[in-house]
Order: sequence, then structure tokens, then C-alpha cells
Amino acid sequence: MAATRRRWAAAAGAVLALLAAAPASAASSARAQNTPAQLVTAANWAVVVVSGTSPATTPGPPATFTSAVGIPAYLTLTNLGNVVPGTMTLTGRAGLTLLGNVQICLDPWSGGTCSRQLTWTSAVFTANGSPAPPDPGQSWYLKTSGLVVVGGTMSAVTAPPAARTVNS
Amino acid sequence: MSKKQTAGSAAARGTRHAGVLKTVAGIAATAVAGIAITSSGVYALLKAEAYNGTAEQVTSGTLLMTLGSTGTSAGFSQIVDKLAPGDVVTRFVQVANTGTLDGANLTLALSDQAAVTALTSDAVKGLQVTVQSCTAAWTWTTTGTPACGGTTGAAVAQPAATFKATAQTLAPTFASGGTQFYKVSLGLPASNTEISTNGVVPVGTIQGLSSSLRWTFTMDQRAAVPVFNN
Repeated sequence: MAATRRRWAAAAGAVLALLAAAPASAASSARAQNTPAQLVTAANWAVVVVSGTSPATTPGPPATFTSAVGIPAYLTLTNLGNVVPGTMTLTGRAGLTLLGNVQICLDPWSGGTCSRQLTWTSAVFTANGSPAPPDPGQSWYLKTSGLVVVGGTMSAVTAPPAARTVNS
Repeated sequence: MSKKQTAGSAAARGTRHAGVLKTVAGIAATAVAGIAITSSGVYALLKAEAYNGTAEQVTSGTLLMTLGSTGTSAGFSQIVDKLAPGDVVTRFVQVANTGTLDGANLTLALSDQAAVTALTSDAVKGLQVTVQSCTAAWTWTTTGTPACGGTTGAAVAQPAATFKATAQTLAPTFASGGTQFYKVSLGLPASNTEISTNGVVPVGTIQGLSSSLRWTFTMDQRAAVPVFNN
């Protein structure tokens, strides 16, 4: 019993000591916060090429196509991101000579004709070049020339836009 | 016994009871009066008192702080949109000690108000924060280097993840009535250069993420001071 009482007494002493120390940590503080919260988003510079003439809505594998003399193939290139990429490089494989075999139209091809054709001289498109890569959500409509028998895949490879410094 | 005799006995008993009650009441009244007289006699001694003619005024201090934007800046209420690697976007805010007490240990912390993303959880690839103070308002152009109209303090540069984990000290003291002007820069490391192929982003990408940031400035009260005269 005596030992129990001593333990209770020691515990009570410890509690009292804590209570005595409490005022030192009870000093006031003040806070100031931004309301509403600051929204921060990151850029997305993803561009995809798909087979057919429907604008793409999701990433996909390299577009595959086959065309022959008099039978062109149609592809659609779409900027799925929220910025214009710093660079966009079109790459073709298995017999596709981009400059010689691919035409780019800003509108869907209609009966094999284009109302707004894009003149391009390099498969590497830069954000400050002409033409620049498509804007976010914009599509380019591609057509193989069909002058020769070609087939294979096409990809779009994109790099981030140039860095910005903004003060506002 | 006749009815007359019975009635006479009852009347006699009632008379005796009334007499007893009167006697008890008299004794009680006498006792109360005696106690009252005796008690008042105890406190009937002389006494004196003194007091301050003008009441002592006692007030408690206030510890208050406000956060706002500076000049034409919208401060933290303006979205930082579509950050690309190497981007640095700076917002300008001011913090005022509007209380009557001096403050101490002014700190800044960060917290997420929406789903946590790598922007605030990845110390290497995520947001990098730089905070610098000025004793007067900052001046700037959209793309020019901001200029401090007073004296700058040491810059605090840490990943957002660090600001989330530990509040960073901005100043050891903050005087009552004072205002500090801060430029708060957010950037994505240029090392985040990611190549996307056919719309597929790399694993662990920093692209397309978003965060909702709550900035919290906190100051403690100045140290308690015992005062013995004034």
C-alpha cells in the first residue's frame, strides 16, 4: 500500500510540474493566410498523331497507315496539351519521306482537297517558327501523297516550351 | 360526563397551549436580540482605508496580422498557370502587424488545399519557392527584375515540399504597426525537361498537374517582460 501511495504521489507531482510549465508555452501567436488558395498548374505539351480524320482526345501509339499510288492515307495530329510545345518533331518510319509524301491541312480534307494547306519545310516545328506547332486543342489533318507506295508509322515528339519569367 | 363539561375542558386546553406558544416566542425574540447586540458589538471597532483616487488603467495588448497584395499585383489570388520547366512566376504580397504588440519569429508555411501532387510533394521535380522581403513596396515590370524600394532581407529559397514540412523563418522580429513586403516566386526546375511521344507523358511526369496552395504567415508574441516601474 505504501509503495502504491508513493507511486500515486510521484504521478501527481509530475502532473503538477507539467501544469506549472504550461504558461511558458501558452504565449499568443497570430496568423495571416491567403483566401482563397493560390491555384498553380503545370504545362502539358503532349501532341499525338492518330490514323483517320477524327481529332484525337487521348494519347495513342504511333499512327500506322498504308497508302499507294492514287490511294492516300489520312492522319490527324492533335495537341492534347495546354501549351504550344517548344518543339514538335514529326518522325516517320518504314518508307515515309515526310516532306515528299505528307501534306498538312488546317481543316479536314474534303474529297482529297484542302482549303487551308500548310506549307512546311522542316519536320521540326518550333514555337516561334512558321508554322508553329498547333495550339492546344487544335488539329492538323495530314494526307500522304499517294504518289508512291508507302506505309508505316508516324509519331509526334514534343519538348517543353521556353521558360518564362513573370512578375505580376 | 355531560356535553357541557366536555366542551369546557377543551376550551381550557386551548388557553393553556396559547400561553405556552407566547412564552416560547418571547424567549426566542429575546435570544435573537441578544445575539444581534453582541455581534454588532464585535464589529463596532475603528477601522481606516486608503485607495488610489485615480483608477489604475490596465489594458491587454493585441497580436494581429493581415495579408494582402501589393500595388497592382493580385497577390496569391492570381492563378499561376501552365508552369513549364524553367518558368519563374513571382507574386507580390504584404504582411502587416496590425496589433499593439510586437511580434517575434515571423514564419511562412505552405499547405495543400486540394489533392497533393508532385508539385508540392517532390522536392526535386516539384515547385521551388523563393521568398524575399523588402521594407518598402516592390516595383516591377511584367518581365523586368523587381526592385525593392527599401532594404531587402535575406532570401529564403526552398522546395515547396520543405515549406510544407517545416515553416520557414522570415524575420526574428516584427514590430507593431510595421509592414513587410514580400515577393514570392514559384518555379519549376529546368531539369524537368520531358520529351513526350504521341501524347504519352513520361512516368512520374510533372506535366498537367495542379495544386491549390494556402500560404500561412505566423508570428509569435514578443517575449513577456516583467515591468517594475514606469
